[in-house]
This record gives sequence, C-alpha cells and structure tokens, in this order.
Amino acid sequence: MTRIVVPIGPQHPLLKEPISFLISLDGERVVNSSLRLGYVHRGIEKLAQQRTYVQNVYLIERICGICSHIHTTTYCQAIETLLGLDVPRRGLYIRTLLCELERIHSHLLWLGVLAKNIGLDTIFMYSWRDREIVLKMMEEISGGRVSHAVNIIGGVRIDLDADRLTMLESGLNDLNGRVEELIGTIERDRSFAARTRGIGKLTLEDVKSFCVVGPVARASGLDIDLRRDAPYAAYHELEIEVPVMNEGDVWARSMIRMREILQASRLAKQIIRTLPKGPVSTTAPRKVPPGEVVSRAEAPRGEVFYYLRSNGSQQPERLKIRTPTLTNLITLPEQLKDVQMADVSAVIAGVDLCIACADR
Amino acid sequence: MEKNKAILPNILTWARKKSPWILHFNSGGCNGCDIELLSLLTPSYDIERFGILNEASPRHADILVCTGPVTEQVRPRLKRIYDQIPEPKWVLAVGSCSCSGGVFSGAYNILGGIDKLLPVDMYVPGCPCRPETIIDGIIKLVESIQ
Amino acid sequence: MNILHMLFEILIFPGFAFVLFTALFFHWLDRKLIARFQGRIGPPWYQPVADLIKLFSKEDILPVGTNEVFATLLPLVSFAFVMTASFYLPFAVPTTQSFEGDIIVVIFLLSMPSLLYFLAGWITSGVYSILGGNRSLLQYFSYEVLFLLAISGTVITSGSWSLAGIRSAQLTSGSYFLPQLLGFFLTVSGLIGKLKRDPYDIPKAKSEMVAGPLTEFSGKKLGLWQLTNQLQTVVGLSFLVHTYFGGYWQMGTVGGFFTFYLLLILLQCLLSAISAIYARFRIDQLIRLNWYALIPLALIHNLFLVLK
Repeated sequence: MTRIVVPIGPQHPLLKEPISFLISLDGERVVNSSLRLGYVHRGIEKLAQQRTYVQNVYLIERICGICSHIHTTTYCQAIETLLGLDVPRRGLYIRTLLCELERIHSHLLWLGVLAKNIGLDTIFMYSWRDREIVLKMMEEISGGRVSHAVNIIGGVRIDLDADRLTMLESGLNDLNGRVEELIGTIERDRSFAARTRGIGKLTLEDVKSFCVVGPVARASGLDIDLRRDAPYAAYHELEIEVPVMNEGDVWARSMIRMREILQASRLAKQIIRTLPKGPVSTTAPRKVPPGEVVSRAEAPRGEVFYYLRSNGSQQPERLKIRTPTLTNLITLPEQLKDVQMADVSAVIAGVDLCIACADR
Repeated sequence: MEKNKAILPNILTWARKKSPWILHFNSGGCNGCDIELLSLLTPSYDIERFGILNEASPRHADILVCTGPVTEQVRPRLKRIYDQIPEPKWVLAVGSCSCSGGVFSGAYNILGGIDKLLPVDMYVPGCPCRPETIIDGIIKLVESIQ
Repeated sequence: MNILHMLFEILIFPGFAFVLFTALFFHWLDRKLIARFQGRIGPPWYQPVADLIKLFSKEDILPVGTNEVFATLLPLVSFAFVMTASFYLPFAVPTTQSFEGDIIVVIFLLSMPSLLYFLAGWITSGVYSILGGNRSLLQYFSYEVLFLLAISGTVITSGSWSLAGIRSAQLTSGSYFLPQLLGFFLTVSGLIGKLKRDPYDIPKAKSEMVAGPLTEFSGKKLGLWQLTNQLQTVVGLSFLVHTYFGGYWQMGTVGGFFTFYLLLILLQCLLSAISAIYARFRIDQLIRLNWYALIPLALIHNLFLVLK
C-alpha cells in the first residue's frame, strides 16, 4: 500500500496561522505525522532585551492577538514582583476582569473555529456573532477590541465608573443566555457529536507525561488551574470552581471550554459586585533592581510562564516566554495517530493552537 | 462594433469589482488582524454582501490579504502563494506590521513589510485593524480597479 | 419559420439561456438563504453572474504535470452532460419527446459529472485533488445506489419508465410526494450526495481538502465546473419535481410553469436548510449510513410498494 503524504500548511484553510503538518495517509487513515514550527517566529524575546520595560508592555501585547491581555498581565506581574510594588486592589480586580472577559472571547472564538473545521458553518457564525458582545464590552472599557493596552507596570490604565459596571453586568447576562443556548445546541446536535466524540483521545497518563496544560488537560481528568492552585492578581479573593471531565476527547474539550465561559462570566460578575474602591495604579520606577523572577498565569489555553532577569538597568537582560500552545502542540502527533483524515481538522482545532504564542 | 469594444471591458471591470475573492495568508503577524479578518465573514460584518468570498486555494483568489511583517521562514512561501494566484491579482497589506514592520521593526527575523517582497496595492494600518477598516481597505482597493 | 422556432426553443426559451439563468438564480438563492439562516445578509442578486464573468476573464493556469487536454475537456464534457439532461427535464414547457426509459438516460447523464469530477482530481498533480477525487469516487458508490433505488419507487407505482408516463400517472392518482414521503427524502439524500453539498461535501471539504479536485483549477475551467454544479442543482431539483410532484402542475400551461418554478424554489429552501443545519459527515460515516440504514430502507420501501 503506497502512502500519500498530505501537507497541511503553512497556508491552509484549516489554519489561521502558518504551521506545517506533514500527514502520511494509508487510505483515509493517518499513520504518521510530523509538524514544523517557526513560521511566525519574529524574535520577540530578543527584541524585548533591546527595549525598555515600559516599551515592552506594548510589544508583549503583540505576541498574540487572542490572549493579548494575559501576556501583559504575566509580564507586569513579573516586574511588579521584582520591584516589590504593592498594586492597588482595584487595579488587580480590573486586571482580573479583563482576563476573564478575554477567556470568554477566546473560547467562543475557538468554538467557531472547531465548528468551521467540521463543516458546521452555522455554529461558527452564531458563536462569532455572540463573541461580538464581549468584544464590544472590552472595547467600551478599554478602547480596543482584541488588544486592550490595559495593563501598565503598577496597575491598570483604566477605571470603571458605575455606568460601565451596569453595562458590563447587562452584557454578561445577555451573553450567558446566548452561551447556554449554544451549549444546548452542540450538546443535542448529533452531527456535532459524531464528529467530535472519541477523537483525539488523551488519557490521564498521556497528559501527565506530556505536561499538557489548560482545558486539554482538564478534559482528560487532570485537575489543574493556576487561578485556584497558585492565585495571582485578585483570584485568591474570588470563588472558582474548575470544571473537569474524564473523556479526554475533542467533545470533552469543547464541553470544558463552554463551561469555562459560564464560569468566567460568573467570575466577572463577582468582580463587578465586589469591586473595591481606591486608585487603580501606583507609579513604578523606570529602573528595575537586579534579580530574577518567574511569573505564571492561566491563559485561556493553559499556563503561561515568564522568566525575567534584570541587571538593574532600564532594559531586561533576559525574558523567556513559554506559552501553553507549545506544550500542547507536542501531543498532536500522538493524537493524530490512527484518526481519519477528515478528523485531522477536528483534532488540530481541539487543541486550540495559537502559533503566534508558540513561535513568538 | 465601436460600441461593443467599449462595453466588453466595462462588463469585465464591473464583474471584477463585484466579485473579489480573497485569500488570507498570515505572513508572521500576531493573531490580532487575522481574527478580525475572519470575523468579517460573520453576521456582524458579513463581507459576502459585497460579493467577497474567503477562498481556500490560491488559484481561486483575486486578492491576497497578508497580515504580518514577513518572517524569514514565511518569505519563500509568500512569494510562492503570490505566484500561484492567476492574473489579475492584487495585494492588500493588513496591519501596521505588514505595512512597515510596525512594532516588530528591528527584530532579527523579519523583513519588515509586505512591500519589500510583493507589490502592494492597498495598505490598511492599525494594530490591530478594526474589521470596519479592513472592509474599507478592500472596498477602496476594489474601487481602484480600472 | 419552423427552424427558427426550434432554434429559439433550444437556445433561448426553454432551452440553453433560460436554464442557465435559472441555474445562476438558484445559486444566488442558495447562498442568500444560507446567509439568512446564519444571520447574515448575503450576496446581492447579480453575484453569480459577476463571479462567472470574473472567472472567465481570469488567467488560466495549470500546474506542471497536468494533462492539459483533459483538464480542458473534462469541465466542458461534464457541462454538456448536465445540459443534455436538462433537455429531458423540461421546465413545464414540452421540448423533447419523452420515450420509454428516458428516466434511465437522465440518471446516467446526471451521474456522469461525478465520475468526471473524480477524473478531474486524478489528472491534476496536487495531493488534495487526488485525495478529493478518491473521496468523490468512494462517495459515488453509496449515494448513487441510494438515488437509483429511491427514485425507482415512483417507477414501480406508476408502472412506467418514462418521465412523461410518471407525470401522467400522477395526474390521475395524485402526486407521489405525500404517499411516498420516505422515498422522497431518501431521494433528496441521494441528490445531496450527487450535488456534493453540505453535509455530503466530503470530496471538497474546505477544512481538509482545500477545494478537492478543483484545487488546481482556475479561471475559465473553474468557472465552468462551478456552473456545471449550479446547473446540476437545478436539473436535479427539477427531476424531483417531475417524479414526485407531477400531480401539482400540468405540462405546457402558464399556471403549470409557475407552480413548477415555485416547487423548485421550495425544494431549494429544503436543501439550503439541510446544508445550514448539519456538520459535514466523515466518509466512513457516510458510507455506513447509506449502506446500513438508507439503502435497506429504500429496498424495504420499494418492496412495500411492489406488494401494495
């Protein structure tokens, strides 16, 4: 039996971003696959060493357009720890609020991409239509739809008044209804289940040995969530429940993400209700004392890891960024083994790749 | 006969203006512009009302929409994809980084702008671009077709 | 005068030009309906015409290693097949003489484009084209059998192998649509496979096969392939109207013509709704569904009709 090698990428309708898969097929069955990264490598880590800490906030936000806020949060956190800054509580709350709104936006976006990849364009349209609500809310409070430029070293740039809070509250209520409707649709839809159940399976052992993070790990029964396990920003004052499922397939991942949307909107409502009074930021010195620090945060895709070393000047000596996509990406050849060619798109979408994050 | 000669090109121009099919290629940008470009397909913006379709194969497309500062790895691919598009074709650079390198200028792995590699017909600045701006860019490009 | 009249019938109404414009109109209707189902506005009415003119004016390139003669001939031949089929399925205006067994001819003419579609994938050198072509052939073996079995329900009931016979039998006994609802839906399922529409668009599945066999085609050839598919939709739908709705309209009358058109539009709405609702099947799911469920169902249905 001759094998056909199908190249997927760098330009392929399945991928928004360039990454290259080489998939060997035996008929319709995938026997082997390999992937090649680096198409989006711009050299941000090196670039960050040439710019000042303040300039870097702008640059770091451009690592990835989907999870832009979480990157600046992790970065600012690292510097604040080095500086020993006491960030006002209100600032931390607003930072957390944006994190949660971004999670909603990212997961809705992901649902659309998955639905498009399995040929269910209507769900793609609906979930992206509902995503506009959260984008509008973020634009209303920060001025940007996908890049918000909210974080600054020492707090946040924006403050929320009573009008904005009521706007957020009503927007979240509206969104909740729509998301529940979406969940009901994909739970009941048999053609959606037929294309996602039992596909791209990862067992708990696989997840542990590959060090998988985020919703992919939680869908395989690994109960990890940095927001609860190592709280940052304002999370230690909020109630978080982490949804965990055991199936480990694309279906479980989509259900986990859908529940996380509801969870994120509950968190956002908690923040709106308990928003403390006071300033939103403190002034930070331009120079950072020498030292090194590790900062972690839970991005929509899993754990983001920043390592920062300072030499006492205005510029960082080394900034190392590890994103959740990079760890989850390694599981793809394992997941793609023995699936049908038609399921490749569902499996790749199921991991929720963000190549711009992985390549930096 | 004289009249026929004038009518035929007019019809062709009209058809080209009314049916620009785009091919999206991320030439190394962050995701920002890409998701805004994808959201053009969705109910809030719906570019199909202008006859714009997002095509999958370069051979079906008219307009190459690039987002990103052209990294070294993407560079030969971008050229190849441009060559695969049949004439007449246009290039739209979406985002500040694909116009000039933007925030990434100075990085070691980028070329800094689509126009260093391909002839660009329309620039859409913004970091990231709003969907309305991208629509505006495509429409202005389409209107400039002679 | 007689020859001029015949030419007019063949070339303009109800022949070539009219069928072509109907096909373009239905393509617009399809896109508009799906857009409306998805909460979008959808393309303007002239969109298919603009697309077609643009594609015909574009540069025509083929990758190295492609047989150019075949690549040019295949879309032309498959267009000719569908166009010929349309003459056997007059739009409520009599053109060609119906003869015993012409339903077989129509089924043959409608199934040929699928084979040519496979060949189109086979002659081009791209991986996606070859895989897409393979898939279209695999798919062919499931829906074609279903289509034939399901449509033969009408032949069994009417006792005639000609379209005219099936129509006239329905004029006396009433349309087969309601009494044979199951058969009708099985036929629709087969037709969706034939037209390679969602959810049976496995050969040209955008997210994995790019555009299937048509990935490497551009310009005129692509335009012709798309036109063939649009024409096939209309011809397939009018085949359904002839076989299942024959009792609702009369050949050759003005009222019959409008009823015919209305039925076509309603059927197109059905197809568009199905496209918008379902996710794409996997090829093994499709074959299992067809061979384990739908084809036995069609057989039992036919058996029931014979015994009745």
